[in-house]
Amino acid sequence: MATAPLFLGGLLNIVDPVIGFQLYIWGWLLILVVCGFTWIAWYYGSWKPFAPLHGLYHAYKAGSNVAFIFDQNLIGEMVSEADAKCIFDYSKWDYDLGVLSFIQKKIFYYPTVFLDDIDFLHAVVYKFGNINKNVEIARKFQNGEWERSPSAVCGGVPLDIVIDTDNWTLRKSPQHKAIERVATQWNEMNPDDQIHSYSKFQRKLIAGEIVCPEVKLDHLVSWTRVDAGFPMDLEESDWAGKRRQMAEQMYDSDHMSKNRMAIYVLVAGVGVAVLVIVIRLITHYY
Amino acid sequence: MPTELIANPTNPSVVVPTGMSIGPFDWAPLAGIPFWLYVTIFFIFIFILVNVYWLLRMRRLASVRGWAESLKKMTQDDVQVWFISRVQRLTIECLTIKDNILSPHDQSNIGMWHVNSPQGIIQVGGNKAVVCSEDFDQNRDFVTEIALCHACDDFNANQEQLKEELEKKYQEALLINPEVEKPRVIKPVEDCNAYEVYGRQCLQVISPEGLTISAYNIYNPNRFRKYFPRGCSAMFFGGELIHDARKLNLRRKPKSFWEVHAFLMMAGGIGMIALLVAWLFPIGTGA
Repeated sequence: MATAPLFLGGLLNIVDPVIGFQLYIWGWLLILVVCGFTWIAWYYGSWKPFAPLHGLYHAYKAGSNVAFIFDQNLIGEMVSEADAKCIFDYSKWDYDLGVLSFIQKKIFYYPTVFLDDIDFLHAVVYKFGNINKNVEIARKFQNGEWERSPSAVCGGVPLDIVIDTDNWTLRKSPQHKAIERVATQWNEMNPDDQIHSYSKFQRKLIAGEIVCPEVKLDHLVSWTRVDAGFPMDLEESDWAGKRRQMAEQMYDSDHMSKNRMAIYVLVAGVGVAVLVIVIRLITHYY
Repeated sequence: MPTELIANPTNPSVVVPTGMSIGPFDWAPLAGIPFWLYVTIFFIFIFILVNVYWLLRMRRLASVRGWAESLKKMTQDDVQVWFISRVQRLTIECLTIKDNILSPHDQSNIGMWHVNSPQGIIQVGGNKAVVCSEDFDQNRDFVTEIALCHACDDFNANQEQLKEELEKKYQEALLINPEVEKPRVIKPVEDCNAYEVYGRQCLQVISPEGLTISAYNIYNPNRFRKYFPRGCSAMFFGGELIHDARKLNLRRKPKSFWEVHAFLMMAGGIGMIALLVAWLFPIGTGA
């Protein structure tokens, strides 16, 4: 109980007549509600509109590359490297946690099963920071064999461009499930030469070492598209319209700038005239 | 008889005025500051923490903010453009498109790009965008670049076999179209010129329907850019267009002084008249 005069003269100890809460309790509730609304505003106002580009944030957190996955029509999405290149999602694997205590189960970070260089403190930070280490796990399984060829740098994160014409990278697609199944079978039979990336899977598939009838090997690009991408005989008429438009703009530019200036002169003249009348009225009557 | 009032001794420090109350949170463990103030500061700290968390999170997306911002300032004549600079930095901007030519709003930037490949237009989150790079004056189409390099690599690696195959395909093509031209040269296609001179013709005879790409491809800029023509920078293309546009105007008669200055002079005249009227307008003479 208070043994001194009330803080701020008891201003925040005033109770509401209905529930009987002090004002400071209402203040707490108000701050919590504002926090909730702020969270929602950030999420829906700033974060969600960038949904196709969230991969950049996740890649930055995981310290991996970021990837743009496009289909053959170049409809794309930015994802982390793990989503673009790893066949398996190791977080979905079954881990035997029976011997662990309740707290150990709660802080269990699955990459520690595969990677030796994660100490306890980092494991806890990564676990609660939701950091994905699937790329490093897959690389380790493939004995360091990993394809990386960033085409650009986006926000300091190297960006890979992946063209996936057969939905291999869509986790729920039948093609992905077939790849996962075939790769698992291969890995069980060849523990020293495991497949954990789509690139390696494709290499084995083309070499005929594995068979996966559910997936396509290639995609046809028409000559029309190739010729548009690598034009050899562009006519000047392709840009003659733009050239004439520019010529017209140049021809009119002096005229147009003088017309714009005319508006400013008119507005300034009338404005000064009004000011003169106002000053004359003020000096006359006061 | 007067009423006797007896007051009980009261500690003034614990008297609570009417309408107020004290509770467990009014306990003041330190320097008379009640516990509820610490709780309030803690909640305010959470509020600050929420905002700092989101600011830091959004800061990671700063480099792609142009994706949303360019949409806001876009007009009918504008298009979103993803730029890959010479040092391979990706930025997203908004450019004007007229007659398939992209040009920046800032007229002091003379770079221009020709959108020749409509199938090279990408779509991210429902927004269409053109991909361009500083060193090529056409829009990019990654699928085509990969397809061409795959085809040329195969072509270069299997020359002897291809010579036989090409001859066989040519004989087959002759049956369908007797006018089909025989590819004269069979040697590796190593650059853009070779592709243009004989490479395309050879590849089309081998694969008449088109080129194939693997189902899954990681775009490799070092490998897939070798067929780009050199000396086709966007600045050069834009500069040439500006030069040509100036040349077009050389044949036109320049506008006369009156055509250029008529409105300006009229506006100046009206402004002067307005000033004069304001200066000479009679005030207070009627009173």
